[in-house]
Amino acid sequence: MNDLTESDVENKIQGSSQLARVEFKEGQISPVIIELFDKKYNHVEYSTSTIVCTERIYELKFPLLSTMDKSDDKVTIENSFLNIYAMGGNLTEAEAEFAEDFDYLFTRYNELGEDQLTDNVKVVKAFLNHIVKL
Amino acid sequence: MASLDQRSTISNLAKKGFVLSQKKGKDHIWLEFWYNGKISQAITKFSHNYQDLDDHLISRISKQIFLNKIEFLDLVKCPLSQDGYVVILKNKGIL
Repeated sequence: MNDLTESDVENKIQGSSQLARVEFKEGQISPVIIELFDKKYNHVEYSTSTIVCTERIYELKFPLLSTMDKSDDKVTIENSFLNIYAMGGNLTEAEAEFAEDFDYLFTRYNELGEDQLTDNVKVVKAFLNHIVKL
Repeated sequence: MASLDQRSTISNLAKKGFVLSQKKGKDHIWLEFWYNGKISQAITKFSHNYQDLDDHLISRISKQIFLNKIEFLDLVKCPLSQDGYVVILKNKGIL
């Protein structure tokens, strides 16, 4: 990392987070970047075993893993397998939207016959029915 | 920062094959993309209050229907046809 020029570092920092060690040399502060994280790794794991909707509470057999991200003034919870991208001004709002989307997919896919589902949706429906305690 | 009128966005998505779900939420209406009589994972929602779509909402809706933001704007502003959208979904293994 120390072999990088200032310009290289500037370019790498675009869209990344950095961890720096600050050194004091001869009265000068000299930050040395010791790690860079690409944005794609800049998520926090989000796990839940209970999904609380307006009309129903889903208890899950095992935790549903998703990713959570905070950018600007928004919190997002994403589960790309289920195709849920929930967003809110804070975590509570994002969780409420996640729950609403989860409830919609669960009830909608289950009210349709298998012949009305694409192959992908069949897989998601089977997963939802497997993970939800009935 | 992009901003889209929600009513015209819904109307344009309907012209590209999205259908309004019969299942209505308290706060949202849902649009689903059906192909050959089968529902796909391309499902998105809009609020009942018909607020304009800001960058955050455009980003969320784009992801839900498996497009990037530029493709989504092309879909709602016409250059991307329903057939073109189907090709994208097939290439991504959604259909």
